[in-house]
Amino acid sequence: MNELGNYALILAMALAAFAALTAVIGVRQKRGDLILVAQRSVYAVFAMVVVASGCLIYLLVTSDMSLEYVASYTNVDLPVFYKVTAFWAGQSGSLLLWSLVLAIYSFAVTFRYRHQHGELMPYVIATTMVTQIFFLALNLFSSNPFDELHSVHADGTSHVFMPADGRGLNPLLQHPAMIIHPPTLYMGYVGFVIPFAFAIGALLSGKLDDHWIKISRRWTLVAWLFQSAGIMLGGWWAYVELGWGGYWAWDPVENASLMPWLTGTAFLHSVMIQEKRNMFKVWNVTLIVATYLLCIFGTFLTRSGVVSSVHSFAQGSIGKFFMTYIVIALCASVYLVIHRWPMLKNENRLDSAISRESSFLFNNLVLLISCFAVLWGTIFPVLSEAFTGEKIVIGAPFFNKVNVPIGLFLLFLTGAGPLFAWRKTSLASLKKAFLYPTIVALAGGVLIFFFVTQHFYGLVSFILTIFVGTVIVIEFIKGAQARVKANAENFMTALKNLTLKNKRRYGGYIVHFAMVIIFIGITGTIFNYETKFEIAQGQTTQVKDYTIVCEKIGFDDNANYQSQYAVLNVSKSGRFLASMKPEFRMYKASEQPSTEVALQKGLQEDLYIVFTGLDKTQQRAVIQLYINPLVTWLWIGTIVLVAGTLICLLPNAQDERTEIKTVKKETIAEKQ
Amino acid sequence: MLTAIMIMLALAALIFVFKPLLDKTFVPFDLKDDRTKKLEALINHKNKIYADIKDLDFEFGIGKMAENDYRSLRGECLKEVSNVMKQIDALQDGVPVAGNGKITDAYIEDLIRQKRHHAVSGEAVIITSNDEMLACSSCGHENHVGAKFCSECGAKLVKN
Repeated sequence: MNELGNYALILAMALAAFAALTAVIGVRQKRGDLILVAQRSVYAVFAMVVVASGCLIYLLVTSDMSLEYVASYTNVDLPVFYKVTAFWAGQSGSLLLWSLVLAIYSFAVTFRYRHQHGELMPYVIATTMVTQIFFLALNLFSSNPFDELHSVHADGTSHVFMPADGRGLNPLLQHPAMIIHPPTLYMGYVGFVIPFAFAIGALLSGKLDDHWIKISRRWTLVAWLFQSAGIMLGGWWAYVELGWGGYWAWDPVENASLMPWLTGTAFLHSVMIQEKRNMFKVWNVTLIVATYLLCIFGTFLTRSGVVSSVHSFAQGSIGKFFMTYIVIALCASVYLVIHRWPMLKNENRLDSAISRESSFLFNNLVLLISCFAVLWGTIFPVLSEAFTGEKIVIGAPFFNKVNVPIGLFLLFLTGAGPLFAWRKTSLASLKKAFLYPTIVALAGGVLIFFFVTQHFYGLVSFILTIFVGTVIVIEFIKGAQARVKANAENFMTALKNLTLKNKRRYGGYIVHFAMVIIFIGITGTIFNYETKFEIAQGQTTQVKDYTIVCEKIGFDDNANYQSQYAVLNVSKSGRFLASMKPEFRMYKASEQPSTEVALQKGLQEDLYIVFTGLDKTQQRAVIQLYINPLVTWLWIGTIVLVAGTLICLLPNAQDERTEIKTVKKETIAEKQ
Repeated sequence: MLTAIMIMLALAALIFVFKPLLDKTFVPFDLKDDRTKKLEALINHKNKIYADIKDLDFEFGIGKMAENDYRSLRGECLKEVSNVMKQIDALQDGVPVAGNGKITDAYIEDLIRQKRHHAVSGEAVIITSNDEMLACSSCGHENHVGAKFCSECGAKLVKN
């Protein structure tokens, strides 16, 4: 079966090269038949990558230990569920997942536009297929999941070697979040290839009109949705699995996922200016190229082992491949932008410095500054080692110091942006628009100052969340009231129609509201509390409002791991809350320890208990306890973010066109 | 067995990919001529300005924009859209195209049928370009359904 998988990968790579070549020849010679052949080659690449992925899953599930990958990341007694997720546990499997996700995207895009954009699509196919070739080549020539284990005999001959059992899956990866977190994040990373391919297609074909930008915006939104969800799912996995009480540690790989998200977010805003005003063309191409390169760079960081990270489960020599590819892609993109420079000139000017356009430009700059700060902090250890020979690691304090004020400023722009009108906003209307949200925010701020916290950033963050929240609520109310007046609808119907008939605007506002909720969750960090104590069976201890009774300290043993655990009955302010069971496990195959956190979630705060082991007497459980306020709001915010983005992605309803008709009538009158 | 599967896989892929070349069927590179593309671009531009006007109306309606700014920007948009519509009209002078900008076989057949009818009856014939608008066969101008005469050239409009 591994031979079949390998063979499918070779076929996929040959077909991808053929697709890229025929697409370019087809468009140069204006041959429709060759373009059809290129499209079919893309479909065939998809089929081959699916076959290869199917082979790997089969080999993992059937525990074929003759394969290095299977033996390295699974063991016979590993539950089937985790055998499947081991697909992306190691380097070569992750790279195959990259190829699979890209093949899915390429298939979808090629099929969706098979009858459209005749001069643009062949170049899009060529660009996606070149990226596909790169990742398939990595699998075939550098990190192949179908490689067999070999033992070398004394006479110099080598034979396939099959160990009795594998080394097992890293315990940290044995968590339900691992089914969904990596594929979701990869859907984000790889999804950004599509808008990049359209940008390169537009540059190569010279078709730099509205088409590529409209299509790119939608696909960027899809990638952004997955990237956002993937990042948050990663945070959730870290929170419930790693056992250190937090969800974000400015780990290089976390940073790697955040950087394309920041540039992608900038692109989603600035692309609107190009759509509406034909401005910022070079800027938009630059942003999407940067996003693509950061995605490749992110994969490189994760898989090369160049920086030490909790995610660098495997290290390898693929770094030079990645760096070469990144440099080539960067040079080619820069050349194309310079080559098409005359076609990328702005067709309009900003009507006013006080407008939605200028606020977007401002938000773009701040997002890029944030991205640069994260990039600098992430690669600084590598640069310092290269130039001084000493690896200087930059920790969370640097990232927090730089990014907390930037993040708060971005939060402010999240609320201020919607208050500006497109093209021109008068100072008088701006003052009016700022008045109520500012009053509400300051009033809230005074209450928070006296009753909740005097922590500077905490206070600023809460004031800004109130400000932005109020802005968005007022925007919805004003819009709905306008509809009530114009269409005689009741308020709730008006609110619904308002959102559904202006999906981009109000879907976007919902996403902004989600950011408010997420910021509430992040701000909760300032109230975090942690303590460590030892407790014997039958003993009681008090931590803040919580009374903890240790009902039992127990041991368990199964095929996969041995564990020690404590059963803790927790009451809050005298009322029984839950029976919690934190665990300390030792996995047999991998011989690695892991903690299973006991978590009691709440809107106000989470109670987070870690069993770190037994004390010297083996009678008392050593417990690390965290009280993490407001964390649940992060996950609620993520759900709202996904909902808002989905609203933005809904296709335009027919009824939007009927509204345009009324404008049409006036135009006809003007013309006459 | 495995070798057979591999060969079959490769053969299936090759047949699937090369079928269009083996069949020697003519596949047009692009279904749209330059004129249609130019027209499409103009229609897109027109719709973009309509959307701008819609946004201006909305933002003025919820009090985000001063009245004088609103009036001047809206006026600019209306002027711009009128220019675009004149270009569309100039381009449509002669052979009208379908409302969505796509020339389909059915549309061409419909056009021929109407041309024939026109030659026989000598009347100006309207060509349905989409559900709401009717194109005049004399000048190609789009008129509202229900109009009896073309608002551009005055030719009589007759429904099919």
